[in-house]
Amino acid sequence: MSEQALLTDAEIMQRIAARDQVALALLYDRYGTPVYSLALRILRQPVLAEEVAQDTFMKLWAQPHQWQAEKGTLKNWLLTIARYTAIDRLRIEIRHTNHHAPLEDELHMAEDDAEREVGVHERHLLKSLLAELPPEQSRLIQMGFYQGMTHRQLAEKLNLPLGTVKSRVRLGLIKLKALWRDATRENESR
Amino acid sequence: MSSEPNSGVKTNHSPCEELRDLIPAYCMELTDPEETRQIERRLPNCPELAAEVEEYRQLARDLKVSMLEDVEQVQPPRHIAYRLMQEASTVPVNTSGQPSRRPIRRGAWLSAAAAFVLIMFGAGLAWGLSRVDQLSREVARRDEVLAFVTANELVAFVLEPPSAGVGTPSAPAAPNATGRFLCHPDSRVGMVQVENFPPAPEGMAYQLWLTRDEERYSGGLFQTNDDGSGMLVFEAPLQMREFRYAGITLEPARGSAAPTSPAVVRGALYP
Repeated sequence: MSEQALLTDAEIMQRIAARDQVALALLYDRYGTPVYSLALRILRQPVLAEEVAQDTFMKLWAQPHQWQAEKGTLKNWLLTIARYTAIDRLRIEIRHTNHHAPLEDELHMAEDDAEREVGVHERHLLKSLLAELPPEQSRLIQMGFYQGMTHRQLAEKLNLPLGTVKSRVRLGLIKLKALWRDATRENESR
Repeated sequence: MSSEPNSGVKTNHSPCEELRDLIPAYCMELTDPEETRQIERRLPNCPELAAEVEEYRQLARDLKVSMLEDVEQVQPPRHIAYRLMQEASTVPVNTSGQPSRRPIRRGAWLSAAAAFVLIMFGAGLAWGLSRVDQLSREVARRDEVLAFVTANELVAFVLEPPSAGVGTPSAPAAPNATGRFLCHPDSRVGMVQVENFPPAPEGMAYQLWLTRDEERYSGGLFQTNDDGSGMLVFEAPLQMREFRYAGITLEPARGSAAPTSPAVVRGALYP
């Protein structure tokens, strides 16, 4: 064999930092689907999701050094950038232009959000715990996350009293934290 | 009307207790901007809430990661890759970190074309990826590669764990492991992509094997990512159509002359 090539995420990012466009192509090949899928989940429109997917990888191309391997996986970092980018785009689409975060802020927010490593088991566990909440509570939490909505925006969108939205969100998160804590303790005691 | 944060529940709490009601939503970034400002202004005066804030922040971080990945996967249209490569050719990094525009240079376009070919050609089949300066040679081959793509002649073979009892004495070590072997029959370059591989122990790596009648060739070594995925691009001494089987085994990190462990995945190639 005259040639072999194996590239981890970190190695691909080193090449991207060195302006290797082939590495960018490979990274897109590796994570294009989850990035596009998340953008589509948030925006619900393929054309907008395509733009967000492209923008997400361009932000990485423009500032590859923003990713720090010790703070989280590249995939989580990319997905977090994609989420903020998609939510920004959603806000523009619905003419909610307040709190539009500039590029640098998005990258920094992505760094903060992607900081914690969450294993596959923990992810599945959290997903199942979220499903244990009353549907009206989990729906608000998920809508708030995927569409970047606040209490007030959720209340307006769903035509619910503001106090009802706040109570449901609060009770849902309190219960989720208790379930998460119990499940974590159970795992640790095994 | 009070301008203080309103949790939507009781209002006869102390100021810090009122704040406590909003902490879950605040940490999940669901509070309204004015609420958020007030919370951040008042939190330093409620040190008894610090631990709770940290707990909810941790929950919010975990929950966000979980929800980011908990999305139905949809294959993106391929033209995104092309547009991305085009735009990357025109947007160099500058010192401010902000992208700036410049006219497309011919060389840059060729690089973009080469990278695009890599994506189109079986989702990342990369000639000479380990040497950036080899890109020019890749560009020189682009017509040939594009011809493969245009003619839809790329072939993908499935690699699977061997079934127990069929040439293996026991159940496979990684029953969920899968692989794809991508190549063109006339080419000596190929690529394998794997998923759900267990992490290789310290000092070990995965090794690709290609067989042709009684001859066996090593396709090279690779490691997997944390999520069990991995990729190897290799160049073989023969055209791909010459090989009958491919398999991947766990071997010492320096590689073995012959397989020393059962195949994690394997599959038939050209008959």
